[in-house]
Amino acid sequence: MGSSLRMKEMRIMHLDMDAFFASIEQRDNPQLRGKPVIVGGTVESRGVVSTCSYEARLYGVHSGMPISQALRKCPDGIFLGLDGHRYMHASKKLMAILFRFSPKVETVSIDEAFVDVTGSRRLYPSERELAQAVKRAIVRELGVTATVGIAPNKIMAKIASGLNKPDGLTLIQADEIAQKLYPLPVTAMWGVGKRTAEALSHLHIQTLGDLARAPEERLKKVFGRNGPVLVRLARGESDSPVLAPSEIPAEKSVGHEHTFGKDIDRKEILLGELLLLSQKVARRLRRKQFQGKRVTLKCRFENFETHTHQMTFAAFTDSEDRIYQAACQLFQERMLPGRKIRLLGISVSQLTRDVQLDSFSAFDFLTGRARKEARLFPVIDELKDRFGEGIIWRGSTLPVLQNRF
Amino acid sequence: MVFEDIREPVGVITMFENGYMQPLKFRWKNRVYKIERVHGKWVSHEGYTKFFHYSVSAGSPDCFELCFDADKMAWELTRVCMEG
Repeated sequence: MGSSLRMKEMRIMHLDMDAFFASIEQRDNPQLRGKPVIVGGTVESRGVVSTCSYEARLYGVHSGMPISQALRKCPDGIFLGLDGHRYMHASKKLMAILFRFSPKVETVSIDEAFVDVTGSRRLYPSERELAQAVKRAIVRELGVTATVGIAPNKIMAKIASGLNKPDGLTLIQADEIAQKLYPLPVTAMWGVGKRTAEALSHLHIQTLGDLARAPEERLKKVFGRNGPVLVRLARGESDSPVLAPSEIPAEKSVGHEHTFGKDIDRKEILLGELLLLSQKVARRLRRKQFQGKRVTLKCRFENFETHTHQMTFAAFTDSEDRIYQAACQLFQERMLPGRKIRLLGISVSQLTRDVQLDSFSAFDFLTGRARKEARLFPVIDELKDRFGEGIIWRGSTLPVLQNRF
Repeated sequence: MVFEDIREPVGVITMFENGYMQPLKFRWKNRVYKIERVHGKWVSHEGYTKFFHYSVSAGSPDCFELCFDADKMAWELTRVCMEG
C-alpha cells in the first residue's frame, strides 16, 4: 500500500495531559486549586520547573525554567517537590484507559501517548464522540483533564493536540492540513527547536506552509538528509506507525544525573556521587539485561557551562565498578580541579543484550574478579528489590549521603 | 499555605469492599476526624513493601495524607497541608 493511501486512511490520536503533575497535586489537595502551583522543587532547591499549573503560567513560569527564576517571576507560587510514585500511578491508570480504546498505544512520556484509532473510530458514531469518550473516562477515573488531537499521522496529531489546550479537542482531516496547520510557526512541529527555527528563518521560512512549499534540495544543502524530511513532515507526509510497547526499539543509552543542593568542589563528595550514579546506572542496565561499551560523564559547572567526556571499553559491561573507574578517570583527567560543580551525570551507551565473552572479560574471569561480581551484584540487586534502595550502601558513598541529608 | 510532615502512627477505621480499601475515620492526637472526601489515592513501593496513600479532607479546609503500610498493616499520617 502506498504511503499517501495509507496516510489517508490512518487516524492517529495524540493525547497530552494538561499540566499533569500540577493537576494531580491540585486534584489531591483542594487548597491548591486555582493557585499557581509549581512542581519540580521547593524554593530551597535548585532544580528546574517540571510542570506548573495554568495559574502559574500567567506569571510567565514554564517547564524547564530554574526554580530560582520561577520564584522571582511568581513569588506567591506554591512550590512542590516531585512525587514520582503519585504521578506514575496516575500514568499507569491513564495508559490502562487508553488501551480500552485501542490495542495500539505508544507511550511517549509519563503524560503523553499516541493511540492508533484507525479501527476503533468505527465503533463510535463519529471520531469526535470517540475522543470525547476518552476525555470523559480520564476525567471520571483520574480526576484531571487531557487535550486530544486526531490527525492522519503522529506528527500532525501532536501539532493538533497543542492547538487547543487545556481540555481541548482538535480534529484534522487530511484535506484540512494546509488550511489549519500551514499558518502555524515551524516550532509547532515536533523536532523543530529554537536552533532549527533560526536556521529556517535565514531561509525566509517562518511557517509550516513556508516549509511545506520549500524546495527539498534547498533544505538539503543546509540540513543534509534531514532537510527533505522536514519538508515532507510539514506537508503531512508521514506514515510512522503507532508502536506497541513490544515494538519500541531498545533504548540507546541508560543514564542518571544529580543536581547538588549547593555547588560542590570537595573531591570526596564528587567521587562519592560518581559511585552512586554508577551504581544506579549499572543496576538499571542489569534490570534491563543490557551491557554497554561507552561511558559518558557529564559535568555542569556553577556558571552552567556543561562538559561531556566519553570513554569506550574494549568489552561490554554492566559492572558498577568498571563504570565508576571510567567515570573517575574521565573526571580526574579532564575536569579542572577546584571548580565548583552543579551537576554530575553518567550514561552508558552502545548497548547490547548479546554479550560474547571477549579476551578482556575472559582475563577478568580467569582472575576471579568477574566471577565475584557475577555473584555479588545479583545478590545486591535482590536485596534492593526486596527491601528498597536504602538497604545497602558502599562505605565510600557515605560523604555524599551525609552531605545530602 | 503550610505543608507539615507528620509521619505519626494513627488509628484508621477502614472499609474493605470489592477489592478496594477506603479510609472512613482516623484518630490523631486524641481527636477523631471523619473523612468527608478522598481526593486522590496512589501506591508506592519500597522493595517488596507496598504503601497505599490517600489524600483526604476531614471537615476543615486542611488536607491530610494517610499512608497504609501493607507489610506492617499499619496506618500513618504522613503530611498535613494547612491554610496559613
